[in-house]
Amino acid sequence: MRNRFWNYALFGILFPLSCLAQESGEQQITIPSSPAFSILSFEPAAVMKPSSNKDLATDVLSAFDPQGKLLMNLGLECSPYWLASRPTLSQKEYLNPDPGQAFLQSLSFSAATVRDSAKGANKLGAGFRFRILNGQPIDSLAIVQKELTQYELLQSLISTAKVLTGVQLKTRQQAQDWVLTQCSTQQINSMLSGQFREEAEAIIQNFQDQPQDIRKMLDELKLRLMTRNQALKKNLSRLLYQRKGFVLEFAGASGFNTTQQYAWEKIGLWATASYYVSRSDLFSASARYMNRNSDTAKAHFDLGFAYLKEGSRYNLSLEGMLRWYWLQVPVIQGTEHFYKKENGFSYRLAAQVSYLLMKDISVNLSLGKDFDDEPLTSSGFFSILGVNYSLFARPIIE
Amino acid sequence: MALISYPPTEEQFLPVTDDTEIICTVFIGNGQSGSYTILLGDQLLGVNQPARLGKKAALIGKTTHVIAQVTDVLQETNWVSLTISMWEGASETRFRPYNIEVPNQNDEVEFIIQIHHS
Repeated sequence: MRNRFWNYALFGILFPLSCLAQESGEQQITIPSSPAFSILSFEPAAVMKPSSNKDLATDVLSAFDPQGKLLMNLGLECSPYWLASRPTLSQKEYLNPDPGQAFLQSLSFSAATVRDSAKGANKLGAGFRFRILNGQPIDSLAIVQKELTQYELLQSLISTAKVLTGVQLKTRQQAQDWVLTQCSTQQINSMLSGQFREEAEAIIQNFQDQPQDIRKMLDELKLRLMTRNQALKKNLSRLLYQRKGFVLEFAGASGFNTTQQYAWEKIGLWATASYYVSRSDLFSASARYMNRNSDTAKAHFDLGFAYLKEGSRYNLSLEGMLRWYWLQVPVIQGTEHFYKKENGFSYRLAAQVSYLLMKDISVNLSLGKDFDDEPLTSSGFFSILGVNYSLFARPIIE
Repeated sequence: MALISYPPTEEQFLPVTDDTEIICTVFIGNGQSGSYTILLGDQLLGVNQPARLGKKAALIGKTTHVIAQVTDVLQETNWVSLTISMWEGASETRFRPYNIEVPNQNDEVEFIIQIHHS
């Protein structure tokens, strides 16, 4: 109880600082998940994710009003390869793709529209993202995959018993015994065969020895086993996306002002090479080019290096970024109006550590030096202590 | 999450030659996870591997059942597919990819495909 009081007290003191601890998109060198949203610094409330050509056509058409004008505050994410069924793609090829297949599987386009209420302008962002190298699956995936295959095999055997009902299997007990014998022959693990036995014994009395009734009983058993093994499927779906080894990824995005005849305002290009030593150790090197065409035109090229370590209760990140920049600042002196051009070099160094206090509350400490390439910025040394609180965190299934 | 049954499907396959062994293979596509069994009549001949069905004379009048359970595990797609091939030496007779798009991630699909040899 006392511990809980101090946790809440700390939360109350530090909460106002938590916003300060968030890094802005401009400072993050890693590739954004949706480049179009990132270039506009906007996360749309509604994101359309079509899964077929028909859905894509419908979504694109619904993005325009009857006068043919683009609607605002919309987002669209689309992976062309996945708009159709891919019946020749095996799981092995999906998990270990060559560069061409990695490109096809990972290529995605994003688009977003937003109304800038301060300037009264409508903005459109469009972007892409793809991988050429996608590392390898992590070791624990094979273990979980084997468990899921066994579960699916058990379900296949129950379906097979349905086919054999009325031919070879005349009673409920024969159907149950046949599945259990096959579990033993196919070396299905004892936990799964035990689940089948328990569920069968629980419902066998609710059915008769008519073929149709036996099939109904087997269907009921499949549903009960599916309910008991939801976590296994979710766990596999999560592990599929954890990679080790070398990952090479590229992205690009552009932002336009649609109220000024689609004049471009921003462009961004990203390249990231990451090396996942393990699930919890990551080295990455990134390059980024950003160009902003507004009152103050600015372009910069960044090279960054980062190390991330994830522990059970703590995360540590170390990063360094080198920046070469070019600025064009409008200057008015009396009646004279001209542009002052400037270029130079800046760098950012940062270390961040976060410690998980409770299930949804963590304390973060960031130390470092930020870029000093913007006009009117100081040397940029910072030390920030903050708290992250997740109201609706996703459950982690192990 | 739901358990979806692919619509009952029946096909026909008759070997051309008398002395070539027929092999039945099953392929699970869309990068998804699954398991299958192959029955000839009431004999279980294959579990997650190709089944040797025998020569033409042993097949005539019988039915092969391919029974599969496939789970949609990928976040990128909800498509699930199954392709069956009958190999007569180097000659392949392919039964369409049976495609189905499931409504939700982690839904499961039960396929029961009958192939008659008559």
